[in-house]
Amino acid sequence: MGGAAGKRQLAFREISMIVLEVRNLGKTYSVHEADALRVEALKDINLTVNKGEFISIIGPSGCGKSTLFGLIGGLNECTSGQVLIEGEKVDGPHPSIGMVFQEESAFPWLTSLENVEFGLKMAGISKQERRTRAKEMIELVGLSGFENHYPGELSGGMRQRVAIGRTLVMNPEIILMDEPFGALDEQTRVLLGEELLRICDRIGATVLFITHSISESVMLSDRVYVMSCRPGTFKKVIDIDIPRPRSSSTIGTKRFGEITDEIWRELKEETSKRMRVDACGMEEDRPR
Amino acid sequence: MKRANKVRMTKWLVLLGSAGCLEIIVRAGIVRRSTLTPVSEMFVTLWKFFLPGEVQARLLKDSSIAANFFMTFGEILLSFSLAVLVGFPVGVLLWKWKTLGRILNPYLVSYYAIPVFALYPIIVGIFGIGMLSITFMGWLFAIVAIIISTATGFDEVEKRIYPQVGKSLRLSRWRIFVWIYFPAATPYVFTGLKLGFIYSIIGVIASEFILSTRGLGHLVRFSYSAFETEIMYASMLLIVIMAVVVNSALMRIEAWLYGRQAR
Repeated sequence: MGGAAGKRQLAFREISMIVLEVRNLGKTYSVHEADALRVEALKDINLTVNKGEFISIIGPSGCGKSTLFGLIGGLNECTSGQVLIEGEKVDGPHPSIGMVFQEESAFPWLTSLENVEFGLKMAGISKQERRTRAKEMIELVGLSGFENHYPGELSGGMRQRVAIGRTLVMNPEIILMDEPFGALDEQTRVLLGEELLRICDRIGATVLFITHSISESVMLSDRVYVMSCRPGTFKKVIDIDIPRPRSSSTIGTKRFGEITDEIWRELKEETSKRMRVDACGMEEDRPR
Repeated sequence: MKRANKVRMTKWLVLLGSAGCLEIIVRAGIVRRSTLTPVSEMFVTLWKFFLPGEVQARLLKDSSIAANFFMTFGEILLSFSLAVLVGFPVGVLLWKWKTLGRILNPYLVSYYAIPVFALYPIIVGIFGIGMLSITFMGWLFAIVAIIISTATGFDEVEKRIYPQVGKSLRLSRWRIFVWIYFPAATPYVFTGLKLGFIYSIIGVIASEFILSTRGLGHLVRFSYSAFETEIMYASMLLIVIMAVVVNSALMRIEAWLYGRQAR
Protein backbone atom coordinates (compact mmCIF):
# COMPACT_ATOMS: atom_id res chain seq x y z
CA MET A 1 0.00 0.00 0.00
CA GLY A 2 1.74 3.10 -1.11
CA GLY A 3 1.74 6.79 -1.51
CA ALA A 4 2.02 9.65 0.91
CA ALA A 5 -1.70 10.13 0.81
CA GLY A 6 -2.27 6.53 1.83
CA LYS A 7 -0.03 7.01 4.83
CA ARG A 8 -1.82 10.18 5.71
CA GLN A 9 -5.07 8.30 5.63
CA LEU A 10 -3.72 5.57 7.92
CA ALA A 11 -2.28 8.05 10.34
CA PHE A 12 -5.61 9.74 10.70
CA ARG A 13 -7.39 6.43 11.08
CA GLU A 14 -5.23 5.61 14.06
CA ILE A 15 -6.13 8.83 15.80
CA SER A 16 -9.60 8.32 14.40
CA MET A 17 -10.84 11.74 15.21
CA ILE A 18 -14.52 11.95 14.40
CA VAL A 19 -15.34 15.31 12.85
CA LEU A 20 -18.82 14.59 11.58
CA GLU A 21 -21.39 12.26 13.01
CA VAL A 22 -24.95 11.71 11.89
CA ARG A 23 -27.22 9.84 14.29
CA ASN A 24 -30.57 8.31 13.34
CA LEU A 25 -31.33 11.22 11.10
CA GLY A 26 -34.78 11.37 9.54
CA LYS A 27 -36.78 13.81 7.51
CA THR A 28 -40.48 13.61 6.83
CA TYR A 29 -42.46 16.30 5.09
CA SER A 30 -46.04 16.85 4.06
CA VAL A 31 -46.78 17.23 0.40
CA HIS A 32 -49.72 19.52 1.13
CA GLU A 33 -49.91 21.65 4.22
CA ALA A 34 -53.08 20.24 5.74
CA ASP A 35 -52.92 16.90 4.00
CA ALA A 36 -52.16 13.57 5.57
CA LEU A 37 -50.02 12.73 2.55
CA ARG A 38 -46.55 12.64 4.06
CA VAL A 39 -43.33 11.61 2.46
CA GLU A 40 -40.60 10.01 4.47
CA ALA A 41 -37.58 11.28 2.60
CA LEU A 42 -34.89 10.02 4.94
CA LYS A 43 -34.90 7.45 7.71
CA ASP A 44 -32.32 6.18 10.22
CA ILE A 45 -29.30 7.74 8.57
CA ASN A 46 -26.12 6.93 10.48
CA LEU A 47 -22.76 8.17 9.33
CA THR A 48 -19.35 8.79 10.81
CA VAL A 49 -16.62 10.79 9.13
CA ASN A 50 -13.08 10.88 10.52
CA LYS A 51 -10.70 13.72 9.99
CA GLY A 52 -9.05 13.63 6.57
CA GLU A 53 -11.41 11.05 5.08
CA PHE A 54 -13.07 11.26 1.72
CA ILE A 55 -16.54 9.78 2.01
CA SER A 56 -19.04 9.37 -0.81
CA ILE A 57 -22.76 8.88 -0.66
CA ILE A 58 -24.20 7.24 -3.74
CA GLY A 59 -27.77 6.53 -4.68
CA PRO A 60 -30.26 6.69 -7.50
CA SER A 61 -31.70 10.11 -8.23
CA GLY A 62 -34.62 11.06 -6.04
CA CYS A 63 -33.53 8.99 -3.05
CA GLY A 64 -32.96 11.99 -0.82
CA LYS A 65 -29.27 12.67 -1.36
CA SER A 66 -29.78 16.40 -1.71
CA THR A 67 -32.10 16.44 1.27
CA LEU A 68 -29.35 14.86 3.34
CA PHE A 69 -26.90 17.44 1.98
CA GLY A 70 -29.20 20.25 3.13
CA LEU A 71 -29.60 18.70 6.58
CA ILE A 72 -25.89 18.18 7.22
CA GLY A 73 -25.17 21.66 5.88
CA GLY A 74 -27.73 23.05 8.31
CA LEU A 75 -29.79 24.67 5.55
CA ASN A 76 -32.88 22.66 6.49
CA GLU A 77 -34.17 21.12 9.68
CA CYS A 78 -34.46 17.40 10.29
CA THR A 79 -37.53 15.82 11.85
CA SER A 80 -35.64 13.25 13.90
CA GLY A 81 -32.09 12.39 14.96
CA GLN A 82 -29.18 14.78 14.93
CA VAL A 83 -26.05 15.93 13.16
CA LEU A 84 -22.91 16.50 15.23
CA ILE A 85 -19.94 18.44 13.96
CA GLU A 86 -16.87 18.13 16.16
CA GLY A 87 -19.25 16.92 18.85
CA GLU A 88 -21.45 19.99 18.52
CA LYS A 89 -25.10 19.67 17.59
CA VAL A 90 -25.94 21.37 14.31
CA ASP A 91 -28.85 23.78 14.24
CA GLY A 92 -27.91 25.93 11.28
CA PRO A 93 -25.00 26.30 8.88
CA HIS A 94 -21.87 25.42 10.86
CA PRO A 95 -18.69 27.50 10.47
CA SER A 96 -16.60 24.33 10.03
CA ILE A 97 -18.58 23.28 6.99
CA GLY A 98 -18.11 24.48 3.44
CA MET A 99 -20.70 23.63 0.83
CA VAL A 100 -20.43 23.16 -2.93
CA PHE A 101 -23.77 22.96 -4.67
CA GLN A 102 -25.05 20.87 -7.53
CA GLU A 103 -26.56 23.85 -9.33
CA GLU A 104 -24.45 26.55 -10.91
CA SER A 105 -23.63 28.70 -7.95
CA ALA A 106 -20.80 30.97 -9.08
CA PHE A 107 -22.24 34.49 -8.88
CA PRO A 108 -22.59 35.74 -12.45
CA TRP A 109 -22.24 39.39 -11.42
CA LEU A 110 -18.77 38.87 -9.94
CA THR A 111 -15.49 37.93 -11.62
CA SER A 112 -13.75 34.65 -10.71
CA LEU A 113 -11.51 36.47 -8.25
CA GLU A 114 -14.39 38.42 -6.70
CA ASN A 115 -16.36 35.20 -6.42
CA VAL A 116 -13.55 33.49 -4.55
CA GLU A 117 -13.14 36.57 -2.35
CA PHE A 118 -16.85 36.78 -1.55
CA GLY A 119 -16.91 34.73 1.65
CA LEU A 120 -13.74 36.38 2.96
CA LYS A 121 -15.20 39.82 2.29
CA MET A 122 -18.37 38.88 4.15
CA ALA A 123 -16.25 37.62 7.04
CA GLY A 124 -14.68 41.07 7.26
CA ILE A 125 -11.18 40.05 6.25
CA SER A 126 -8.97 42.93 5.09
CA LYS A 127 -8.78 43.61 1.40
CA GLN A 128 -5.09 42.85 1.21
CA GLU A 129 -5.34 39.50 2.97
CA ARG A 130 -8.35 38.32 1.03
CA ARG A 131 -6.71 39.27 -2.26
CA THR A 132 -3.65 37.17 -1.37
CA ARG A 133 -5.70 34.19 -0.21
CA ALA A 134 -8.05 34.37 -3.18
CA LYS A 135 -5.15 34.50 -5.63
CA GLU A 136 -3.59 31.43 -4.06
CA MET A 137 -6.90 29.65 -4.29
CA ILE A 138 -7.39 30.69 -7.92
CA GLU A 139 -4.07 29.05 -8.65
CA LEU A 140 -4.92 25.92 -6.67
CA VAL A 141 -8.18 25.34 -8.53
CA GLY A 142 -6.46 26.04 -11.84
CA LEU A 143 -8.05 29.32 -12.81
CA SER A 144 -4.89 31.36 -13.24
CA GLY A 145 -5.33 33.78 -16.09
CA PHE A 146 -9.11 33.82 -15.66
CA GLU A 147 -9.23 35.97 -12.50
CA ASN A 148 -11.05 38.79 -14.20
CA HIS A 149 -13.45 36.71 -16.27
CA TYR A 150 -17.13 36.61 -15.40
CA PRO A 151 -18.70 33.14 -15.03
CA GLY A 152 -20.68 33.79 -18.23
CA GLU A 153 -17.38 33.83 -20.09
CA LEU A 154 -16.19 30.51 -18.62
CA SER A 155 -17.01 26.87 -19.42
CA GLY A 156 -19.20 24.80 -17.12
CA GLY A 157 -16.19 23.03 -15.61
CA MET A 158 -14.42 26.31 -14.89
CA ARG A 159 -17.53 27.81 -13.33
CA GLN A 160 -17.60 24.85 -10.95
CA ARG A 161 -13.93 25.47 -10.14
CA VAL A 162 -14.90 29.01 -9.18
CA ALA A 163 -17.59 27.65 -6.86
CA ILE A 164 -15.18 25.13 -5.34
CA GLY A 165 -12.55 27.84 -4.85
CA ARG A 166 -15.08 30.10 -3.15
CA THR A 167 -15.81 27.33 -0.65
CA LEU A 168 -12.24 26.12 -0.08
CA VAL A 169 -10.83 29.60 0.51
CA MET A 170 -12.77 29.72 3.77
CA ASN A 171 -10.63 26.81 5.07
CA PRO A 172 -13.56 24.64 6.10
CA GLU A 173 -12.87 21.59 8.28
CA ILE A 174 -15.37 19.58 6.30
CA ILE A 175 -16.30 20.09 2.67
CA LEU A 176 -19.78 19.02 1.64
CA MET A 177 -20.26 18.50 -2.07
CA ASP A 178 -23.55 17.73 -3.73
CA GLU A 179 -22.88 16.28 -7.20
CA PRO A 180 -20.56 19.16 -8.01
CA PHE A 181 -19.71 17.70 -11.41
CA GLY A 182 -23.23 16.50 -12.17
CA ALA A 183 -23.80 18.92 -15.02
CA LEU A 184 -20.49 18.22 -16.74
CA ASP A 185 -19.59 15.78 -19.47
CA GLU A 186 -17.86 12.51 -18.55
CA GLN A 187 -14.32 13.53 -19.59
CA THR A 188 -14.38 16.85 -17.75
CA ARG A 189 -15.88 15.06 -14.81
CA VAL A 190 -13.04 12.54 -14.56
CA LEU A 191 -10.38 15.20 -14.94
CA LEU A 192 -11.96 17.49 -12.38
CA GLY A 193 -12.32 14.55 -10.01
CA GLU A 194 -8.62 13.87 -10.39
CA GLU A 195 -7.86 17.49 -9.62
CA LEU A 196 -10.18 17.50 -6.66
CA LEU A 197 -8.14 14.61 -5.23
CA ARG A 198 -4.94 16.58 -5.74
CA ILE A 199 -6.41 19.67 -4.06
CA CYS A 200 -7.87 17.75 -1.14
CA ASP A 201 -4.56 16.01 -0.62
CA ARG A 202 -2.77 19.34 -0.58
CA ILE A 203 -5.02 20.95 2.01
CA GLY A 204 -5.74 17.74 3.92
CA ALA A 205 -9.47 18.21 3.61
CA THR A 206 -12.25 16.05 4.97
CA VAL A 207 -14.83 15.58 2.26
CA LEU A 208 -18.38 14.32 2.16
CA PHE A 209 -19.21 13.85 -1.47
CA ILE A 210 -22.65 13.15 -2.91
CA THR A 211 -22.84 11.60 -6.34
CA HIS A 212 -24.78 9.26 -8.57
CA SER A 213 -21.69 8.22 -10.52
CA ILE A 214 -20.26 4.88 -9.41
CA SER A 215 -16.82 5.30 -10.94
CA GLU A 216 -16.54 8.79 -9.49
CA SER A 217 -17.33 7.53 -6.00
CA VAL A 218 -14.84 4.66 -6.25
CA MET A 219 -12.06 6.78 -7.64
CA LEU A 220 -12.38 9.50 -5.03
CA SER A 221 -13.41 7.85 -1.79
CA ASP A 222 -12.12 5.97 1.22
CA ARG A 223 -15.61 4.74 1.92
CA VAL A 224 -18.85 4.69 -0.04
CA TYR A 225 -22.32 4.70 1.52
CA VAL A 226 -24.91 3.21 -0.81
CA MET A 227 -28.39 4.62 -0.37
CA SER A 228 -31.72 2.96 -0.85
CA CYS A 229 -34.91 4.72 -1.82
CA ARG A 230 -38.14 5.76 -0.16
CA PRO A 231 -37.34 6.24 2.56
CA GLY A 232 -33.74 7.05 1.81
CA THR A 233 -31.40 5.16 4.11
CA PHE A 234 -27.99 3.57 3.89
CA LYS A 235 -28.18 -0.07 2.85
CA LYS A 236 -24.49 -0.78 2.57
CA VAL A 237 -21.10 0.70 3.40
CA ILE A 238 -18.21 -0.25 1.17
CA ASP A 239 -14.56 0.41 2.02
CA ILE A 240 -12.47 1.32 -1.00
CA ASP A 241 -9.10 -0.35 -0.46
CA ILE A 242 -7.49 0.91 -3.65
CA PRO A 243 -4.15 2.50 -2.71
CA ARG A 244 -3.58 6.21 -3.11
CA PRO A 245 -2.58 8.31 -4.89
CA ARG A 246 -5.21 7.47 -7.46
CA SER A 247 -5.77 9.02 -10.84
CA SER A 248 -7.90 8.47 -13.89
CA SER A 249 -5.71 5.47 -14.77
CA THR A 250 -6.99 3.72 -11.63
CA ILE A 251 -10.26 3.27 -13.52
CA GLY A 252 -8.67 0.53 -15.63
CA THR A 253 -7.48 -1.66 -12.74
CA LYS A 254 -9.03 -4.99 -11.76
CA ARG A 255 -9.83 -4.02 -8.18
CA PHE A 256 -11.60 -0.90 -9.44
CA GLY A 257 -13.79 -3.09 -11.61
CA GLU A 258 -14.66 -5.43 -8.75
CA ILE A 259 -15.70 -2.66 -6.42
CA THR A 260 -17.63 -0.87 -9.13
CA ASP A 261 -19.44 -4.14 -9.78
CA GLU A 262 -20.33 -4.55 -6.14
CA ILE A 263 -21.78 -1.06 -5.89
CA TRP A 264 -23.63 -1.51 -9.13
CA ARG A 265 -25.30 -4.70 -7.84
CA GLU A 266 -26.53 -2.82 -4.78
CA LEU A 267 -27.77 0.10 -6.82
CA LYS A 268 -29.39 -2.01 -9.51
CA GLU A 269 -31.75 -3.51 -7.00
CA GLU A 270 -32.71 -0.02 -5.79
CA THR A 271 -33.13 1.40 -9.22
CA SER A 272 -35.34 -1.38 -10.50
CA LYS A 273 -37.39 -1.24 -7.32
CA ARG A 274 -37.77 2.47 -7.88
CA MET A 275 -38.84 2.01 -11.47
CA ARG A 276 -41.56 -0.39 -10.36
CA VAL A 277 -42.72 2.14 -7.77
CA ASP A 278 -42.84 4.86 -10.37
CA ALA A 279 -44.94 2.61 -12.56
CA CYS A 280 -47.45 2.24 -9.71
CA GLY A 281 -47.77 5.99 -9.33
CA MET A 282 -47.88 7.74 -5.98
CA GLU A 283 -49.25 4.83 -3.96
CA GLU A 284 -45.88 3.99 -2.46
CA ASP A 285 -45.51 7.49 -1.07
CA ARG A 286 -48.40 7.04 1.30
CA PRO A 287 -47.52 6.16 4.88
CA ARG A 288 -47.52 2.47 5.49
CA MET B 1 -20.34 41.30 -47.45
CA LYS B 2 -21.21 39.56 -44.22
CA ARG B 3 -24.84 38.82 -43.46
CA ALA B 4 -24.73 40.95 -40.30
CA ASN B 5 -23.49 43.93 -42.30
CA LYS B 6 -26.17 43.41 -44.93
CA VAL B 7 -28.83 43.36 -42.23
CA ARG B 8 -27.45 46.52 -40.66
CA MET B 9 -27.32 48.30 -43.98
CA THR B 10 -30.84 47.25 -44.87
CA LYS B 11 -32.08 48.58 -41.53
CA TRP B 12 -30.70 52.01 -42.38
CA LEU B 13 -32.07 51.77 -45.92
CA VAL B 14 -35.56 51.14 -44.54
CA LEU B 15 -35.29 54.28 -42.41
CA LEU B 16 -33.81 56.45 -45.13
CA GLY B 17 -36.20 55.04 -47.73
CA SER B 18 -39.23 55.87 -45.62
CA ALA B 19 -37.94 59.39 -45.00
CA GLY B 20 -37.24 59.71 -48.74
CA CYS B 21 -40.79 58.63 -49.64
CA LEU B 22 -42.29 61.20 -47.27
CA GLU B 23 -40.02 63.83 -48.76
CA ILE B 24 -41.04 62.96 -52.32
CA ILE B 25 -44.80 62.77 -51.84
CA VAL B 26 -44.79 66.28 -50.41
CA ARG B 27 -42.42 67.77 -52.94
CA ALA B 28 -44.29 66.12 -55.82
CA GLY B 29 -47.48 67.70 -54.54
CA ILE B 30 -49.28 64.41 -53.78
CA VAL B 31 -49.80 65.54 -50.18
CA ARG B 32 -50.39 69.16 -49.30
CA ARG B 33 -47.82 71.06 -47.31
CA SER B 34 -50.43 72.00 -44.75
CA THR B 35 -50.74 68.28 -43.96
CA LEU B 36 -47.14 67.13 -44.11
CA THR B 37 -43.75 68.83 -44.13
CA PRO B 38 -40.83 67.36 -46.13
CA VAL B 39 -38.53 65.53 -43.75
CA SER B 40 -35.53 67.68 -44.64
CA GLU B 41 -37.49 70.78 -43.66
CA MET B 42 -38.43 69.22 -40.33
CA PHE B 43 -34.74 69.11 -39.49
CA VAL B 44 -34.21 72.67 -40.71
CA THR B 45 -37.10 73.94 -38.59
CA LEU B 46 -35.88 71.94 -35.63
CA TRP B 47 -32.50 73.60 -36.03
CA LYS B 48 -34.19 77.01 -36.13
CA PHE B 49 -35.82 76.24 -32.76
CA PHE B 50 -32.44 76.82 -31.23
CA LEU B 51 -31.67 80.02 -33.12
CA PRO B 52 -33.18 83.37 -32.31
CA GLY B 53 -35.37 84.48 -35.18
CA GLU B 54 -38.74 84.25 -36.79
CA VAL B 55 -39.59 80.65 -35.82
CA GLN B 56 -38.90 81.28 -32.20
CA ALA B 57 -40.79 84.56 -32.23
CA ARG B 58 -43.81 82.89 -33.81
CA LEU B 59 -44.09 80.02 -31.46
CA LEU B 60 -42.15 80.30 -28.31
CA LYS B 61 -42.86 83.91 -27.46
CA ASP B 62 -40.93 84.68 -24.31
CA SER B 63 -39.68 81.14 -23.58
CA SER B 64 -36.87 79.30 -25.34
CA ILE B 65 -36.97 75.82 -26.84
CA ALA B 66 -34.40 74.78 -24.29
CA ALA B 67 -36.74 75.83 -21.50
CA ASN B 68 -39.55 73.77 -23.04
CA PHE B 69 -37.29 70.80 -23.55
CA PHE B 70 -35.90 70.84 -20.04
CA MET B 71 -39.36 71.30 -18.63
CA THR B 72 -40.53 68.12 -20.34
CA PHE B 73 -37.36 66.19 -19.65
CA GLY B 74 -37.38 67.32 -16.04
CA GLU B 75 -40.95 66.12 -15.60
CA ILE B 76 -39.99 62.78 -17.12
CA LEU B 77 -37.00 62.40 -14.83
CA LEU B 78 -38.96 63.46 -11.77
CA SER B 79 -41.91 61.16 -12.45
CA PHE B 80 -39.54 58.28 -13.23
CA SER B 81 -37.41 58.81 -10.12
CA LEU B 82 -40.48 58.93 -7.91
CA ALA B 83 -41.80 55.79 -9.62
CA VAL B 84 -38.53 53.99 -8.81
CA LEU B 85 -38.43 55.35 -5.29
CA VAL B 86 -41.91 53.99 -4.56
CA GLY B 87 -42.14 51.11 -7.06
CA PHE B 88 -38.96 49.28 -6.07
CA PRO B 89 -39.75 49.01 -2.33
CA VAL B 90 -43.35 48.07 -3.13
CA GLY B 91 -42.08 45.36 -5.50
CA VAL B 92 -39.77 44.00 -2.81
CA LEU B 93 -42.66 44.09 -0.32
CA LEU B 94 -44.89 42.12 -2.71
CA TRP B 95 -42.14 39.52 -3.11
CA LYS B 96 -41.41 39.31 0.62
CA TRP B 97 -45.07 39.24 1.60
CA LYS B 98 -46.49 36.67 -0.77
CA THR B 99 -50.07 36.96 0.47
CA LEU B 100 -50.13 40.65 -0.37
CA GLY B 101 -48.60 39.80 -3.74
CA ARG B 102 -51.35 37.29 -4.45
CA ILE B 103 -54.06 39.76 -3.44
CA LEU B 104 -52.71 42.57 -5.60
CA ASN B 105 -51.68 40.42 -8.54
CA PRO B 106 -54.97 40.63 -10.54
CA TYR B 107 -54.96 44.43 -10.22
CA LEU B 108 -51.35 44.72 -11.28
CA VAL B 109 -51.62 42.48 -14.33
CA SER B 110 -54.76 44.21 -15.60
CA TYR B 111 -53.43 47.69 -14.81
CA TYR B 112 -52.18 48.50 -18.28
CA ALA B 113 -55.47 47.45 -19.81
CA ILE B 114 -57.02 50.57 -18.28
CA PRO B 115 -56.49 53.76 -20.28
CA VAL B 116 -55.19 55.92 -17.46
CA PHE B 117 -55.48 59.03 -19.62
CA ALA B 118 -59.25 58.67 -19.62
CA LEU B 119 -59.08 59.54 -15.95
CA TYR B 120 -57.46 62.92 -16.52
CA PRO B 121 -60.42 64.97 -15.25
CA ILE B 122 -59.92 63.40 -11.83
CA ILE B 123 -56.26 64.31 -11.87
CA VAL B 124 -57.02 67.88 -12.95
CA GLY B 125 -59.57 68.01 -10.16
CA ILE B 126 -56.97 67.01 -7.59
CA PHE B 127 -53.75 68.60 -8.85
CA GLY B 128 -54.98 71.27 -11.23
CA ILE B 129 -53.30 71.99 -14.55
CA GLY B 130 -49.52 72.12 -14.66
CA MET B 131 -46.35 70.38 -13.69
CA LEU B 132 -47.77 68.52 -10.70
CA SER B 133 -50.52 66.74 -12.60
CA ILE B 134 -48.21 65.93 -15.50
CA THR B 135 -45.59 64.44 -13.24
CA PHE B 136 -48.30 62.48 -11.48
CA MET B 137 -49.49 61.05 -14.80
CA GLY B 138 -45.97 59.98 -15.75
CA TRP B 139 -45.53 58.45 -12.32
CA LEU B 140 -48.85 56.63 -12.50
CA PHE B 141 -47.97 55.22 -15.87
CA ALA B 142 -44.47 54.05 -14.95
CA ILE B 143 -44.78 52.71 -11.43
CA VAL B 144 -46.60 49.43 -12.07
CA ALA B 145 -44.03 48.21 -14.61
CA ILE B 146 -41.36 48.77 -11.97
CA ILE B 147 -43.35 47.05 -9.22
CA ILE B 148 -44.04 43.98 -11.36
CA SER B 149 -40.49 43.52 -12.62
CA THR B 150 -38.99 44.02 -9.16
CA ALA B 151 -41.28 41.40 -7.61
CA THR B 152 -40.69 38.97 -10.49
CA GLY B 153 -36.94 39.54 -10.40
CA PHE B 154 -36.63 38.74 -6.71
CA ASP B 155 -38.90 35.73 -7.18
CA GLU B 156 -36.59 34.44 -9.90
CA VAL B 157 -33.51 34.82 -7.70
CA GLU B 158 -35.27 33.00 -4.88
CA LYS B 159 -35.66 29.97 -7.15
CA ARG B 160 -31.94 29.90 -7.87
CA ILE B 161 -29.25 28.49 -5.60
CA TYR B 162 -27.56 31.85 -4.86
CA PRO B 163 -29.43 32.65 -1.62
CA GLN B 164 -28.51 29.18 -0.32
CA VAL B 165 -24.84 30.00 -0.90
CA GLY B 166 -25.30 33.05 1.33
CA LYS B 167 -27.03 30.95 3.93
CA SER B 168 -24.24 28.37 3.90
CA LEU B 169 -21.79 31.22 4.50
CA ARG B 170 -23.93 32.14 7.51
CA LEU B 171 -24.86 35.58 6.26
CA SER B 172 -27.74 37.41 7.90
CA ARG B 173 -30.96 37.82 5.92
CA TRP B 174 -30.19 41.47 5.40
CA ARG B 175 -26.73 40.74 4.00
CA ILE B 176 -28.12 38.01 1.75
CA PHE B 177 -30.57 40.62 0.47
CA VAL B 178 -27.97 43.31 -0.11
CA TRP B 179 -25.11 41.16 -1.43
CA ILE B 180 -26.95 38.40 -3.25
CA TYR B 181 -30.60 39.19 -4.04
CA PHE B 182 -29.91 42.75 -5.05
CA PRO B 183 -27.14 42.14 -7.62
CA ALA B 184 -28.73 38.90 -8.85
CA ALA B 185 -32.06 40.62 -9.49
CA THR B 186 -30.51 43.67 -11.16
CA PRO B 187 -31.07 42.60 -14.79
CA TYR B 188 -34.74 41.80 -14.15
CA VAL B 189 -35.28 45.00 -12.23
CA PHE B 190 -33.53 46.99 -14.93
CA THR B 191 -35.95 45.69 -17.56
CA GLY B 192 -38.69 47.20 -15.42
CA LEU B 193 -36.78 50.46 -15.11
CA LYS B 194 -36.36 50.63 -18.86
CA LEU B 195 -40.07 50.08 -19.44
CA GLY B 196 -40.86 52.51 -16.64
CA PHE B 197 -38.76 55.23 -18.22
CA ILE B 198 -40.46 54.75 -21.57
CA TYR B 199 -43.86 54.86 -19.86
CA SER B 200 -42.79 58.04 -18.07
CA ILE B 201 -42.01 59.62 -21.43
CA ILE B 202 -45.38 58.58 -22.84
CA GLY B 203 -47.23 59.68 -19.71
CA VAL B 204 -45.60 63.09 -19.56
CA ILE B 205 -45.80 63.96 -23.26
CA ALA B 206 -49.39 62.79 -23.59
CA SER B 207 -50.40 64.72 -20.48
CA GLU B 208 -48.78 67.85 -21.84
CA PHE B 209 -51.25 67.76 -24.72
CA ILE B 210 -54.07 68.38 -22.30
CA LEU B 211 -52.67 69.54 -19.00
CA SER B 212 -49.95 72.04 -19.80
CA THR B 213 -49.09 75.43 -21.15
CA ARG B 214 -45.45 74.50 -21.71
CA GLY B 215 -43.30 71.56 -22.75
CA LEU B 216 -42.84 69.55 -25.91
CA GLY B 217 -46.26 67.92 -25.81
CA HIS B 218 -47.86 71.32 -25.48
CA LEU B 219 -45.74 72.56 -28.38
CA VAL B 220 -47.17 69.88 -30.64
CA ARG B 221 -50.75 70.53 -29.68
CA PHE B 222 -50.43 74.29 -29.77
CA SER B 223 -48.77 74.38 -33.19
CA TYR B 224 -51.37 71.94 -34.47
CA SER B 225 -54.25 74.18 -33.46
CA ALA B 226 -52.40 77.25 -34.74
CA PHE B 227 -51.93 75.60 -38.18
CA GLU B 228 -48.14 75.81 -37.76
CA THR B 229 -47.54 72.50 -39.51
CA GLU B 230 -43.78 72.98 -39.88
CA ILE B 231 -43.31 73.69 -36.21
CA MET B 232 -45.56 70.82 -35.22
CA TYR B 233 -43.52 68.34 -37.21
CA ALA B 234 -40.25 69.70 -35.90
CA SER B 235 -41.52 69.30 -32.33
CA MET B 236 -42.61 65.76 -33.06
CA LEU B 237 -39.19 65.04 -34.48
CA LEU B 238 -37.56 66.36 -31.33
CA ILE B 239 -39.73 64.09 -29.17
CA VAL B 240 -38.97 61.06 -31.33
CA ILE B 241 -35.23 61.76 -31.24
CA MET B 242 -35.30 62.12 -27.47
CA ALA B 243 -37.21 58.85 -27.02
CA VAL B 244 -34.97 56.92 -29.42
CA VAL B 245 -31.74 58.18 -27.81
CA VAL B 246 -32.94 57.38 -24.29
CA ASN B 247 -34.25 53.98 -25.33
CA SER B 248 -31.10 52.88 -27.12
CA ALA B 249 -28.97 53.97 -24.17
CA LEU B 250 -31.15 51.93 -21.81
CA MET B 251 -31.07 48.94 -24.14
CA ARG B 252 -27.31 49.04 -24.21
CA ILE B 253 -27.10 48.99 -20.43
CA GLU B 254 -29.63 46.18 -20.32
CA ALA B 255 -27.74 44.09 -22.87
CA TRP B 256 -24.56 44.59 -20.84
CA LEU B 257 -26.28 43.49 -17.62
CA TYR B 258 -27.80 40.39 -19.20
CA GLY B 259 -24.57 39.61 -21.04
CA ARG B 260 -22.79 39.41 -17.72
CA GLN B 261 -25.48 37.17 -16.28
CA ALA B 262 -25.66 34.87 -19.29
CA ARG B 263 -24.96 31.26 -18.51
